[in-house]
Amino acid sequence: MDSLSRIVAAAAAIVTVSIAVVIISEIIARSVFNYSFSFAWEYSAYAMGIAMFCGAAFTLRTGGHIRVSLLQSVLPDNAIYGVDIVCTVLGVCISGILAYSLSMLAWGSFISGSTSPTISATPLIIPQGLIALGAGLLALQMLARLIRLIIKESPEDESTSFQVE
Amino acid sequence: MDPFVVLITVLVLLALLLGSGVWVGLSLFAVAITSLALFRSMPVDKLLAQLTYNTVTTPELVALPMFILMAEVLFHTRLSASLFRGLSPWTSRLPGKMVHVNVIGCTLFAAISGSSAATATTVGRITLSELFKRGYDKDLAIGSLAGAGTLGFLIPPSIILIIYGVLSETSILKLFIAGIVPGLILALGFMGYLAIRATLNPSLIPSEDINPTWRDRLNGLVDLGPVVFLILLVLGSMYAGFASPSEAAAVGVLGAVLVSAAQKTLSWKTIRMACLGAVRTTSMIALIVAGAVFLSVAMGFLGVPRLIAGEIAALELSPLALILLLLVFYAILGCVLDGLSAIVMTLPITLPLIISAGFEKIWFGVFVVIVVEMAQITPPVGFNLFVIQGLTGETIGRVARAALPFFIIMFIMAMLIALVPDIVMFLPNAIKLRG
Repeated sequence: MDSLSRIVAAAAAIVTVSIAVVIISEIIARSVFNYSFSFAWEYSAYAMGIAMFCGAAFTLRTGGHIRVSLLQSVLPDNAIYGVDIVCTVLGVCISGILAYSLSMLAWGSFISGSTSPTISATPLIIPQGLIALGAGLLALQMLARLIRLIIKESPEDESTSFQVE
Repeated sequence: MDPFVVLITVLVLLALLLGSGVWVGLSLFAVAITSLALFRSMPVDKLLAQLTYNTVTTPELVALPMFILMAEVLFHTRLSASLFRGLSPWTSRLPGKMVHVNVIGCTLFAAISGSSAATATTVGRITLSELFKRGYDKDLAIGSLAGAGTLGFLIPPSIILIIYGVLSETSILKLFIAGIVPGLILALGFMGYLAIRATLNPSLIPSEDINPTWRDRLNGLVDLGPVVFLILLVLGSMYAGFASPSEAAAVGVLGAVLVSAAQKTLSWKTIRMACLGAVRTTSMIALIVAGAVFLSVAMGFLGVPRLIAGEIAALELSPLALILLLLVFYAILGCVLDGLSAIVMTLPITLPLIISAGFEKIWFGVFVVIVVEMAQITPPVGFNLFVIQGLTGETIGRVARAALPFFIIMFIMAMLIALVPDIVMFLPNAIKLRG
């Protein structure tokens, strides 16, 4: 599960960089060759959505999603443990609903063959499917977190440190 | 269903979920899903999926991951060291000397970074240890970094202003222009305070005489080169009208990579760390923003904003009293929540209120940012406090105490722009924008 999250997050990172590349090449194409490829905006928006959701599981694993830590600072250790389990169970439910809804949306687009209302007429299943995949991974990672808590393993991977944002 | 019952249920649920430590973004989703299912018995999943999909593929939002990526790349450069070297010879004549490097450094860095935590980390990494080493007063050094670091949000580019622009459907470019003047006034306010403290109590500042020559100062300018290059690149391209905020951000990423290459800090490792770091921050923000959008639409369906707006209107507050009320409300909220979450959660209710009181959307955007900045330095939850705690190892309480005077200066600033909205509005009104 962890390595899957990592691989998908790495893919999300590459997607993010590709947004920059697409936009910069669009600027160059527009100003130097006076030719604008209209899909640049559309695709960078898809790419952003995909990157946002595909990075979500990895973010959870490395403790990057924000939560209010007020209670954790006043409760005794075993109470924190219990509360954390409850939170994670809720987390599994919510991210599960999110993943299910996004998958149904993608499935609907696939069945009806919906395409984007732009010139490129991109089949919507591609961005929607990838976003649903990211949401699904988040739900699975949440489940993995629950299992880790139950077998008393550390839920957050602190082997890689990041800048605080 | 009575909107009042809905409101109470929502608030209790939200407090319960957030308080127990459920992830902020997921809590927002959960409250929205539950309240729609309870009070409207409608198929939630279609609405949830479509809204979330629309939110995360909003073209204007693309500026967000780009500016985050740019800041991440810059974090791995030696930019903070060159900022310190470049600025310190110029502050020798000011009362307070090098503490001003904190403020000026943050102001400059804020013009290329959209996040206040990134600003405080990048600038503080070098300045704090240098100031401590030279014997400057600890509280003054820590406080000025905590305060000035928050300028990252106000001085464009700004992550908060991008999100505010998307949520309130306001021009991000105009918001960016509106943030400049209040940001500079705030920076001057901080410097003024530092100068007064240093004059009243000279023991705060080491007396050692360093007399930098003009040659040192000119060398300093050379050190500032990369920062100025990036500012010109990002802000220049936006204000000259040849790039949209997202495009300017992408250009900024390129510029950051060039600076990194010039300082020989560019390696596969730093690129990988920067990219993963950017993905992580973007995902975190995306989950909160998507949750907040869904919650605000759900509240709209259930008639909650109308109820609250009606109640507040019945109080017949003057616009200024309303602002004061909001300021206190956000200050309290900012103690337990991070600023970004507090804003996106409350915006669907506060924005209509403020517009009906006769304020403009752009003005409120800047106001909201100052309020978020205040939340960044209020304990127990304040990101800049965490950052500085991480940098110095001091306790949150001490950092917060050191930051208190700067909190008060921001509070005064928020009241000032409420009294004189033109401080915010005259620049965006004066500049005619293409598009």
